[in-house]
Amino acid sequence: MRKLDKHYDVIVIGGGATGAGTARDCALRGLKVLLVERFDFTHGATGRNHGLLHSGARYAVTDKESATECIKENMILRRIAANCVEETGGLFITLPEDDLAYQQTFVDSCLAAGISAEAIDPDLARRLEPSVNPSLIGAVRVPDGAIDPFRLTMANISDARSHGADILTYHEVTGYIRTGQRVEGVVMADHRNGGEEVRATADVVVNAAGIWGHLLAEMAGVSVKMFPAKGALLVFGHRVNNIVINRCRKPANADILVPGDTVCVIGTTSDRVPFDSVDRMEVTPDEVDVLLREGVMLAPSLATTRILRAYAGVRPLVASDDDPSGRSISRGIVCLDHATRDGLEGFVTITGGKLMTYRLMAEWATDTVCRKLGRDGLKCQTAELPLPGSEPDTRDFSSASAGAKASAGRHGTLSARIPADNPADKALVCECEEVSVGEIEYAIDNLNVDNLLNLRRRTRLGMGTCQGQLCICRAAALLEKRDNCASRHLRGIAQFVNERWKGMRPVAWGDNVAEAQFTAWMYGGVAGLDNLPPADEMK
Amino acid sequence: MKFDNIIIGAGLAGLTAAIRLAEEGRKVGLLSAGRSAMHFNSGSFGLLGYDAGHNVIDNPVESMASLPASHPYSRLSALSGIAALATEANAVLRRAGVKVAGSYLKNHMRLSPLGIDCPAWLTLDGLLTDDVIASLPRKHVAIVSLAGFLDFYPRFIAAAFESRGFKCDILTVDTSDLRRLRSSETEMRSSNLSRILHGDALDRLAGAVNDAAKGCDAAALVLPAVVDFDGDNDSLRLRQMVDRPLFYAPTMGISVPGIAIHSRMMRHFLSLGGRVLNGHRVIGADFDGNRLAAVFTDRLDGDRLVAEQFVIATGSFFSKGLVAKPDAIVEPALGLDTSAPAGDRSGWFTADLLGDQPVMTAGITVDANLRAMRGGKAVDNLYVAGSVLPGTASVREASGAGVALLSAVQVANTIINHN
Amino acid sequence: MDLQNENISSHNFEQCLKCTICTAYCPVTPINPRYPGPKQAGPDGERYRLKNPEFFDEAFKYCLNCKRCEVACPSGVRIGDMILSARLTYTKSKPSLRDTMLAETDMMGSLATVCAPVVNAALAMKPVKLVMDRTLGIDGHRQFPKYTSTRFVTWFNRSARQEQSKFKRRVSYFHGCYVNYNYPALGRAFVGLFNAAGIGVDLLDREKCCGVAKISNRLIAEATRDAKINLESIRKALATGSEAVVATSSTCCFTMRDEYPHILGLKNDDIRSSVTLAVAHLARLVESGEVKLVFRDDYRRRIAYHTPCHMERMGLTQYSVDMLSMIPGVELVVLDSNCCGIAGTYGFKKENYETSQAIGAPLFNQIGRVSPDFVATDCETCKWQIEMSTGLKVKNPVEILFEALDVDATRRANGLHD
Repeated sequence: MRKLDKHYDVIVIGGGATGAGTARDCALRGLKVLLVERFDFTHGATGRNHGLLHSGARYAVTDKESATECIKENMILRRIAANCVEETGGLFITLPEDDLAYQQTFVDSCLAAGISAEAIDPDLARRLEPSVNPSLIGAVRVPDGAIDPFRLTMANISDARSHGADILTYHEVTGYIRTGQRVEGVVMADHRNGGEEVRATADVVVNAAGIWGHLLAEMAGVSVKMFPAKGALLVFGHRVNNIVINRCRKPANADILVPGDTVCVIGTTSDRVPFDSVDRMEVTPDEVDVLLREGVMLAPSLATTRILRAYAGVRPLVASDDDPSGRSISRGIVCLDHATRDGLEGFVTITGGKLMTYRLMAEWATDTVCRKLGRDGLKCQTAELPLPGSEPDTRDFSSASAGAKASAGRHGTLSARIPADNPADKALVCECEEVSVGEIEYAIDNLNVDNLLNLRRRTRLGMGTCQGQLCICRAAALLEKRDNCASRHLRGIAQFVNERWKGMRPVAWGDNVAEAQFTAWMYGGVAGLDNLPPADEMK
Repeated sequence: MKFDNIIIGAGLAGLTAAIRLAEEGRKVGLLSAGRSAMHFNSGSFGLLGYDAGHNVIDNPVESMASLPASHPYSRLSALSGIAALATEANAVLRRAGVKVAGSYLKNHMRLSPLGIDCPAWLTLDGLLTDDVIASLPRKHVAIVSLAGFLDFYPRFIAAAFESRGFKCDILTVDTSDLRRLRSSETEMRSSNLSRILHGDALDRLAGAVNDAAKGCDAAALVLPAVVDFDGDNDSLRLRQMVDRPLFYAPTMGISVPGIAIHSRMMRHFLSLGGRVLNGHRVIGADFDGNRLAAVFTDRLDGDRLVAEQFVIATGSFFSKGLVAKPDAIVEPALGLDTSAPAGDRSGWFTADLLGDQPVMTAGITVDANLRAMRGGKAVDNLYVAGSVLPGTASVREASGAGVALLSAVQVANTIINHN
Repeated sequence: MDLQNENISSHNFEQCLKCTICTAYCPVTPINPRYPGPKQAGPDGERYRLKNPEFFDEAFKYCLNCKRCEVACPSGVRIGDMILSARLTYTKSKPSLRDTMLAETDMMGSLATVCAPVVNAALAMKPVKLVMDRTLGIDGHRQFPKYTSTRFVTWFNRSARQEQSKFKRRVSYFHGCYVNYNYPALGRAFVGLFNAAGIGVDLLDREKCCGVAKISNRLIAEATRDAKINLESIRKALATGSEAVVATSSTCCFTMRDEYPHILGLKNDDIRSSVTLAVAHLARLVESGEVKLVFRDDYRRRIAYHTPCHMERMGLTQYSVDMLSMIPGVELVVLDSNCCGIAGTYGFKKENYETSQAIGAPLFNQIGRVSPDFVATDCETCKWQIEMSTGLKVKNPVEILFEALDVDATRRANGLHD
């Protein structure tokens, strides 16, 4: 057992966007913060969604409150998270089988929620976005965009840390330190050290653990009824569209196609799943079929575009009725002070909401924390202060290398800190996603990197066409240089390969089977990694 | 175009069959739809490395007895016997100038690019094996890496030596040639290194290695296998220029020892008067009853490529010998029957990519003489060789090269004996 | 599921498995580290360019467009097409005066042949070469091909056209700029060879330069204009009795067959299989027995055959090799298929001279070792490069076939009596 020396004002549980945003907000307001995450940042729903910068239009007809929140946060994120946002714009298209009358209701609702929505000629839509289904009969332009949740979360983490926050990944909360009806800290298992027990104390503990927050609340003896709604998505090998394409109808399966970085993503499905399945979400063949069938309605070329992988996240929705699909439930933010709600002191749950409103959720949670600490006077600044990397970038990239351009896209102005002085630093480790040796080393040094999966989430290493086939061994060798632990990193390669395979397997046909065979041959047949015992991310 | 025999596919199986037939004086056309998987071979050939439980096999031939009847080795054993075919395959390699050591009666262990011991049948001279390591006079080696080269892993190789009680030094060398190549962000690859490390550049490398190893007491040096693209003996020359015993460890990704083997075999085939049609993908065929009369390629405007007998050795999924459609495994060139796991695609794979994958045993359905089946009937003059044969998960059982070599020799002999 | 049965992407870039085999066969990567290599410039970069055109790199100009990456690719990715298309789409600068001059083979040829002796003398003069080297960036080591004073077409119209009406079978000859302006002897050999085989020769109604130099120097509007004229003429010829349109230049042939649809986006499916190389057409007729060739007994030569890159990509090498092997007195050595380094106008550019020669070095060395009487190849720019670099004479297979042909016996064998 190990006890952290420092006593914190607040411990935030959860390394998703909400937890990271809350840690940043708390740190910016001068609180002593500890953020704990049981695996790696963005391991939950934050890392498993569309990456859509919602305009709010999708909710305008059914949920005006969410729609209004969305468009406000949309405008804020464009400012403070410029480096994580791509201002692609969005289209809501009406197909011949849809009700064109809905379009007017939709436009009216958008305008009422403060979302600019302009019906345009279908011809113009076809010109603006050549991949769009040419048979469309109506189109509305809205300020949708793309947002990279990995970058967004890391930028919040980095800023929290530079304002004094402590961060622990691979620390899973297994219990609370309590005195009667007061939570005074957390008990954790350190997965990197064989599950060693670690304790940390604080005046307030914030439960920002997404769907897992349900269980963490239960563990604290209070009940927050969430229900897990699984959403499956498909990633295509390259961008077929450069503008977000939505279907102009009541929200349904697979009606959003989002271009993000080098790929595009179609999603989602929505199905209620049992709690015991949330840690092992797999995409079923039926889900793949639905996503494809609906996807080609938005962009017909998806029928013949290589699919890289499939993945599923679990929406942490707060249950309010018995709707089995979960769609009519508000995406509204739920911030609970369990002292007033349940008589449990020192414990706050922030849940509901969505990636788009992570900042607002963090603001609410931090406001609650400050109130509980009696420090109401501390003002939230997160709507104004740009995240690190998102400051205006005046560098000239016209003659820069592909790696330098790509890393500037990923790290914004912070990419100036990536070593690039000598050719060996500029050499590319991941050639699909243009990740250099320097960027890998920068990530290892600065972005809480302990294994290959962390590196992937920080840099896009292994997220391209070959899903790590070419680059993972290179990256493993760079990690090994830091700790000289060859066997751990060799196992890490096999673990990485299988983590990628999990996403490839539901769409394993065509070139993916060729790629998978090649990968198995390289790392199994040639390198012999199949002779090592398997490992999971925690070890 | 008319040939006596046409071989579709210029990988290890196709080249071996082509060489055997050309050696018999046949006019052989070898169709190559892109460079073969041999470019990733690390310089070792497996015959049968693992049993069904993935335990390392000591004597491959003995272990073949327990393989199912559908396995290519069971078929080959019934046709000619494994020993005879293995001996003949080894002789083909020798005549092609590929110098390998090993026995089909006992696997040795090769050192993989990540420093892991893997069972092998034949390994190219100069590469690291357990026999080589055991023969070193002192337990001290120096691993020499090339500055800036990302596909060689001295620390992983060192870990393998250290686990055997060796002292390991890691040295890094640099030369003007390496610096020049390194100034590219991507192109410092094994294959490109081997294309610049000739002549003077090889001399400079040898000098740099000798300088770096000065004062180091190692019994032997280990260098990445990045010389000898053309199988021109540069690897031997470097060993002669370095002033102590030198061995090579393979690199990840594209692999120079495999390319060197390919180059030597290809040159041997050409020297026998063989014809190679590079970049030709077979896209159709003309069947005359149960006979294959001619094939067509994507480059020849419907020209008929005619032969008495054909061999199809198009490889597995990587080489497009098989293609997985979402609902079926197909043979894309000639529309031949395939065998694949029963059921829909959800039964093709398991969760551990490096483990057993049912779909990897898919292949072209064959009769007892390794003739391809089409519409349920054997095609009289079309033989199947290599990893497009069904019934073998060649990566998993480390049998790919063995199946390729032995089945190629078998079908070539069938064709030779036919006339 | 009826979806996802195939993978379609521009130039098949999504079929790339990232195996890197292409980089092992790129002639430029080991020589010029400024070139990002076919994988990075091709399918890797393409994904990024779709996201943001700023990912285009001017260094793609070091690509030779040899397409050896495509021949090597086991997955059918059209890497060379992708790189060339990216250059055409994204390069910001306009083609320079030098590039335009090098590309306008047709116009330059028309002007130069009018006063050939003067131009030839001038192009060979040191001060002129110095000016070209210094101010235009055309490398001073290069010999410009000499311009003829009697164009092939002039000769054909004057001395050969009339006879052609005697033949029932006809092909149309795409002579190309080189035969017309620089080397009419090859055209005359072609006419002689085909006539002896019993096949008449027509010229196209209108023939423009195939466009290879314009395409690689990014003069796309001009190349497209010429290509359309050629396609129209080809269609007309095939519709009016020509059994094929044949070329003696592998590059002209390749450009019309593959670059027109892949790079210029001009559909040619209807005529593509009827546009071929003269040797290929002849080889097919010989194999089918429709044509017989009889060779002289006294023709004894040791010949080394060099495979031009575009010949390799077209997959027609075997025809040239087969035809040359038919000549009884020829001892044929097929050289390793390596790029000679010239790549059309590429090698003429001062910035590429060293790369160009370094790429060709293994080929030149091998030719030295083989020590042939002369070298055979189907591409005129390979011819200039090998002649300049080895001092040996280089001939087109058609020229060699005609040289070795027993014309009278061949005519008789093909039923021609007079």
